[in-house]
Amino acid sequence: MYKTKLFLTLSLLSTLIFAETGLEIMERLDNQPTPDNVKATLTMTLVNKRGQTRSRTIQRFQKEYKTGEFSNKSLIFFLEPADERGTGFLQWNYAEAGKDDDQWLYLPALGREKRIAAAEKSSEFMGTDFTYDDMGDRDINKYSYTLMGEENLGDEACWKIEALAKDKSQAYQKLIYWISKEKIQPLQMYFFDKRGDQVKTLTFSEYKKIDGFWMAMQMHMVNSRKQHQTSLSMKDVDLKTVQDDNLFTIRLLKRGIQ
Amino acid sequence: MKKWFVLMAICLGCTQAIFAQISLNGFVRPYTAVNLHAPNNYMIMEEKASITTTLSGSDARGVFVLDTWYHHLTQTANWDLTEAYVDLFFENADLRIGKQQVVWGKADGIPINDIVCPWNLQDFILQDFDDIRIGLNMVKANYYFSFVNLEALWVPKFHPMELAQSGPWVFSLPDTLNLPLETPGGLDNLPVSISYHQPVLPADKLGNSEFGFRLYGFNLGFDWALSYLDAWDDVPALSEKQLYASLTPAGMVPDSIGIWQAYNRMKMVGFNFSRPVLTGVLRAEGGYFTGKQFGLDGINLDSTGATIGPFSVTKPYAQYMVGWDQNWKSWLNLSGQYIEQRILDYDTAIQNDEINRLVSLLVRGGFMNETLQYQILALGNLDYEDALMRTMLTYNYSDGVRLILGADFLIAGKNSTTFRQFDFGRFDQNDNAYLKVIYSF
Repeated sequence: MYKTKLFLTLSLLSTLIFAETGLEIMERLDNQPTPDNVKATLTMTLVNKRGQTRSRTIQRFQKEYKTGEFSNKSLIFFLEPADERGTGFLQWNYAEAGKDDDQWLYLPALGREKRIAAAEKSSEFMGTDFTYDDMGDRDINKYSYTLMGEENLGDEACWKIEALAKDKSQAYQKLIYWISKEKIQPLQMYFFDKRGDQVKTLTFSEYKKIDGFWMAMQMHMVNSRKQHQTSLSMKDVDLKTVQDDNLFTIRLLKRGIQ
Repeated sequence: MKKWFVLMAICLGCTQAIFAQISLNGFVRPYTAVNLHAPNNYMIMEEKASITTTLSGSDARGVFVLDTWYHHLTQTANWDLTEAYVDLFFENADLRIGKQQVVWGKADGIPINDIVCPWNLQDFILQDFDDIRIGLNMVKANYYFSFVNLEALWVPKFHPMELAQSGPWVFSLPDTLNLPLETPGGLDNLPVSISYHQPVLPADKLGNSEFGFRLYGFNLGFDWALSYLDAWDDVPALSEKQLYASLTPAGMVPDSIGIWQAYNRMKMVGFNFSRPVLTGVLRAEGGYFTGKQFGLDGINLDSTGATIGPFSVTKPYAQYMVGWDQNWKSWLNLSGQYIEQRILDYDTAIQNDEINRLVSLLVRGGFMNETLQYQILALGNLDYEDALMRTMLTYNYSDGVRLILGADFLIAGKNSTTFRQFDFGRFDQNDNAYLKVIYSF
């Protein structure tokens, strides 16, 4: 009996001593190797509450910067539907903490690029359930984290982590993450608004290891408030081709990709 | 004949060698508009099809936009190659040769720096952006330095603004003028008919070509541009008035006036910038214009009854805009602009007012994940007190199919006798409601 109590106490102590905090897990997630260059074709299927579907296909280019002024740059072109073809979106994220991104939108009908304020990041991305903010990287310093426990999602063991916004300027005041312990990648996220209501659920599936990097080939965002959902599937993923710096310019935004 | 086939075969071979990919896209659009003052009167019944052919290669691209349309009201069919150009891409430069549209400036809907391509005002200013600019044959080159870019363009042949010659949007000018004449009873206003003579286009020669430069870049968070354009004024100015008189027992009695117009050379130096500030985007644009001819009031008669000048005067003018874009949510985006045009070194005999001020407010947004989108544009002239309000509701029925239901309201203010590009009051009887169905492929 005494030995059992001692074992339990030691187990509990070791858990307390060696268990990672929510922040540490999120830092591990944030520090996961990410590809320096990404080129992929994404198809987004929008489904409304009546089950009617619309789809958008985009081509996305992204380049990560380890040093220098920028954190990353991305360029998106709309391929489908036909009436959105040629629309482009260019984003420059800065390494300096707190510095707002620079963003430009090119609409073929206007014939020129248009500057977008960073504050618009909470707007929906071209009618999908993803916001501009959701499409980019989330700054982990803008939230504080608590490890809520461990849970299985399907047959994958996950850490369940609560993230609370440090200030009210964030689009989501609370997030709950399920992080795969094996892949150190998110499997599911809950998004909560300023009133504390859960507004969105995002699930990541069909993870593939491409050139040493975990990539979720499917993402599914459900907007429970609007009863609307968006499925995002990725194909033609190219992580090897080094994207030229000149790709992420207004010149290319207007010109389009051949 | 054989030579033509050989030449065509060579061209085709070269095309295939340069352009690896050919794509076709475009739209079909039935468009019906009725006059709200007379609902039985159709203003527009049009079927339009536009096909864009793009030939793409790694360092080159050819784009050809063919528009065809049929007007039911006039039972006329027509077509136009609205754009037809070839792009050549180099490491630090792009070259575009052919018929193309050029867009300069940051102002929405109001051309200040954006005066390279003239406007098609066949439907006043109510056409889509794609349709309102007239593509011009030109050579345009862009060179990209590390921190600044340079654009140079050359337009060999001038093309003026196109105005409606008939129909509801015709810019009708007064056909009589009250001429103050001394009569035995005192001073009387005698109505005299006016005949207008079409302006003559400048001769096709190198000296009459148009050219411009634009230096632009992104520095310190500012998107900025400096521009210079040496071109013809798209709108002709009064060049001569001639009084015709008949000899009667009472003496010389004027019976008609002839008015001639001419195109004049202008120069524009402009700037524009935009920058996010707080939660919005600040935009500004300005231009200093020289060479613009302004018409003068009245008719000066000499002792023989012949008219004497001057009929117009050259004055510099400045035009500037400051605007703010505020996007709160996907369902509410606001964009406001204040635009002012000021004739410098003003002469009170000039027909145009010294200052002409416009304000615009654009409210737009989408609901149901952009299935339903709305847009309200209000454009008002603070000096002439006339306005235009455009309302539009777009329903994205399915991928590539959209229905647009809209109404335009034109509100009269003070009358203006001179040509104004944004003369809403002139068309205050043209309030209209319309339906467009667009199928894009």
